[in-house]
Amino acid sequence: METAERINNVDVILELRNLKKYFRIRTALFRREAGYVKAVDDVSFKIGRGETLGLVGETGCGKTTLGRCVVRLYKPLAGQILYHYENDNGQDVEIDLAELSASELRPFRRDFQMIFQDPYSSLNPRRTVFDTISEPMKASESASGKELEDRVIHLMEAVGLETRYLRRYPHAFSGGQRQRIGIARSLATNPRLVVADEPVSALDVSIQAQILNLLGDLQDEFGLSYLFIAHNLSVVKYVSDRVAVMYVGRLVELASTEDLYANPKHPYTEALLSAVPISDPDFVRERIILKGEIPDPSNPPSGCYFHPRCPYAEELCEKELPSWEEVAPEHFAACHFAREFDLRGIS
Amino acid sequence: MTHLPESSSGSERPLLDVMDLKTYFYVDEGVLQAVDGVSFSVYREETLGLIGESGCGKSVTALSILRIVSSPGRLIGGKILLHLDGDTIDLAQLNPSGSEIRNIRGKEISMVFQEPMTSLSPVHTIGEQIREAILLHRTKDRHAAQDIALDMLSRVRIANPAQRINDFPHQLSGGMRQRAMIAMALSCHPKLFIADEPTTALDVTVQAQILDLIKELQAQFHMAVLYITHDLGVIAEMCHRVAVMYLGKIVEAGSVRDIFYRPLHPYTFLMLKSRPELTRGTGKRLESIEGTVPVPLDLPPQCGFYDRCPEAVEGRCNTAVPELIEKADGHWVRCFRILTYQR
Repeated sequence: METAERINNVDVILELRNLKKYFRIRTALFRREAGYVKAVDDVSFKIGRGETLGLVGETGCGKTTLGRCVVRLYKPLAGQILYHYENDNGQDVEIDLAELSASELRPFRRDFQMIFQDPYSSLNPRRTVFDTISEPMKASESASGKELEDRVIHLMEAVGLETRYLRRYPHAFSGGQRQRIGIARSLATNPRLVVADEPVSALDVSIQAQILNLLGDLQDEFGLSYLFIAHNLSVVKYVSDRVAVMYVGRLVELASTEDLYANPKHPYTEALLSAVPISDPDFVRERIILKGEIPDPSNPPSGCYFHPRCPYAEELCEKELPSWEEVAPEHFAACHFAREFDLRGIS
Repeated sequence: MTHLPESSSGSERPLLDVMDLKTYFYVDEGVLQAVDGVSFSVYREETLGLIGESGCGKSVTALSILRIVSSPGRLIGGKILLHLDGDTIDLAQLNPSGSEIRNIRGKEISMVFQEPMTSLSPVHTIGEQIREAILLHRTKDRHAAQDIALDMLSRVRIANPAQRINDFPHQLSGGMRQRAMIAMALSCHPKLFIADEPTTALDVTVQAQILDLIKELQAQFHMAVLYITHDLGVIAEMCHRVAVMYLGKIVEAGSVRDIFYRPLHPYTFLMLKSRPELTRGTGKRLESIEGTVPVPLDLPPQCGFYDRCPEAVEGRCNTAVPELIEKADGHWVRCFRILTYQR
């Protein structure tokens, strides 16, 4: 387990320890088995100040649920969300957000914000741009009156929106512009960590580039940390310092971006990388096609969840859940054979 | 008007010739020129990619071919020549709800969409839906139809086809639904298979399976494929030739290597440059195209890309619409300021 408080010489601002979030499946009248969807199942990692941690995985892996736990939209079932900050006396303090009640959480909410995937459904259609961006500030009582309006205008400028649109409604804007409104809203309270949940997936390629540039500029300007959740591996590679891979609620690999992409240590990561279509017609490669489907998160396979689809699976994999280990410097994986592989990455 | 490059299979005749196709939408605000003079050809056992961003008209082009554009859209000009053995039919002339086009849909030409639930009925099992197409076009024998349906389901690699065939769409995962839709579309061995963003909504590992499947089935059935997407990676992997669309027109077309390695149109060039995978390391800015795609309403008589083009020349590019010309063998471009390279 990571014991150092600094990752790559950067201060840790958030640490998740053994985080769990399960959802109960409601029973039908005559069906007796009530199960749980183990949406997030024993996840641990750290995020440093000014760092972008990418989080990738496919349907049902739990990355969206995890993002929501981080901003406490959900209360975790178990585990810790350790937040490191400087209090009013200038002292370094650590507090576990997972345990706090709603009222205890309130002063911390402004430090964590979220950008959502769908720019069409994440903005209230009955609120103007001004209303949407100013709402978090009003809720945290961090500004009012003229100061509030100035701040909203400043944020609109920061995200590249024309300020004369202040009193317009979402329907007047394109997808890319709406996403900018969502980003401005997320910055309204001067957060330290922004969870960006698929912020560019719904956007066209050229708009995607604009928004990614914007997110990079804002990170530099405001010293933000990002938890960047996405399924597009090329985008994640571009924005992230380190990348974590999830599969059916569990972390399977975590490493620096370069290491993960060039030298994956988990077979699922290898298959994911191999599945990405490369936009080069002359690129020839033997692709790993995984058999089977992603398992039902309410009824995962025994042992390693990936074993039924894993090209390298052995008997042990069916029996025993692999543990999360540092298999190379700063490179973590949950696989019985991680140290023995020489898997193919993308260079 | 102008035909696109010949296929690599030499002088073989195309299966489909789209000529100067125009589909406009008559809305309150005016006339939306969604497809505005589009021409291309599709050859057997070849894949033509149609690439462009939202609003470029690629989907409406596909819907126009099958004559399923709904009001207020109307096909108002051009020809859609389908060359079957001995016969040529102009689909643009057919009655969109008549029996002739209904004989072609599902049999000679079939289509899959991005969201499988838009074309799968939620109240019928997938078996019923696949059998319906087979009974309509291939055989009246119900037992034979069932066998064909089961065979198709296993060809698209749906596990336990005998069980799954009696499932309703909501009982299948997204990837399985998409595969069921492909099974349905291919059950009558169409000559032309149109795929409109079939994998955009799917996980990348499922996408890889589907792309592999389409290529395999293309070889098995000798199909022509028209593949519509905005994803450059998929285009590079699937297509032999590519047409780039912008604001209802084709702005560049050529072999896949021409498009990726020798783009001539500034839009194509910028689209290629804005790929995140090209930028080595974090911290560097991505190339992007300023502004957004305009709405194709009341377009001025100028190059559609004028407002966003870094190469635009006032007085030249905003005074007329450039024609599509063949700049190099099989490589066409619509631009007054064609890019030149030292390669």
